[in-house]
Amino acid sequence: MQSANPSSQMLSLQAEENRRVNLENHQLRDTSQKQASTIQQLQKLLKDKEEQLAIETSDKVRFKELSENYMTAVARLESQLEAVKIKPLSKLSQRPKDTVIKDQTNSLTNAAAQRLKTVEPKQLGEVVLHLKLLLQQQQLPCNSISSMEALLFGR
Amino acid sequence: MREVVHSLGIQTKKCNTLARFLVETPGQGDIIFNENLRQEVETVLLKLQALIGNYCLYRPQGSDFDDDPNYAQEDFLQKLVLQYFSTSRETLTEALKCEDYDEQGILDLAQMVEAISSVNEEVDETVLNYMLYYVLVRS
Repeated sequence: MQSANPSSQMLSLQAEENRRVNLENHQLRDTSQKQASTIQQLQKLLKDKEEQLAIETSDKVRFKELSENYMTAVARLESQLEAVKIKPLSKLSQRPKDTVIKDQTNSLTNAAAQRLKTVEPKQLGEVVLHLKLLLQQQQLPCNSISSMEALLFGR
Repeated sequence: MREVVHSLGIQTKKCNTLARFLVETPGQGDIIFNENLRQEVETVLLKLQALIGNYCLYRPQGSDFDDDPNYAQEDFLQKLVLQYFSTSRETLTEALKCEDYDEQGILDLAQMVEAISSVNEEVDETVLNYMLYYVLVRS
């Protein structure tokens, strides 16, 4: 049997290689298109979720404000009723429990905690009250710096 | 500083804020938090004194400090408390119960302030402080 011409064998191999490379290119293009489509879908989903989160966050803030205003209003009305002696003493308050506890943690979920600004005195209202009560309890007067020293370091 | 503040019974989350206030230089806007920042003791004490401001001490009537401007009479303040709340005792009790989320019979300062202020929004700061002091020394 006579062997094939070497140059035609080379051409045949080259053609085979070209077909393989073309096929790979098509497959890569398909995969790339699928990934682009998936990314687009995920971006759309992310946008939807962000909108949903913004609405829910807004609702949460609004609910908290309404709840606190409602509790304050009921307390004021009950106080007025009791003052004019028309509030039945046996009847318990209709106020619901305050269910929203302020997030004062340093966690990542607390957006306010992530901003590290200089501490302002107004942020320390409750702490100041606490320290003032301790100073009063220990009979330490306000006009002496040694009072602060005694409070902090027990000297 | 944070440990010193914590030893005064201040909640952990507030300790950091107060410690930062006492140690950091004010008016810098945004700053990079530095755990190892230091400050002179005298500066810390002066800042603390300015932060707390003026307050009075309480003494029962007839004590040796009757004429001392640093002291206020407890009897007088108790009368003021009654003026504000004698007609709304039940409401005040309910307001305090409403702040007790876990029904453990324990309230923190902020909850007490909120409860008292919700019953009478116009309560004088001196009276409010005395009410808190009264509770503190008996708890």
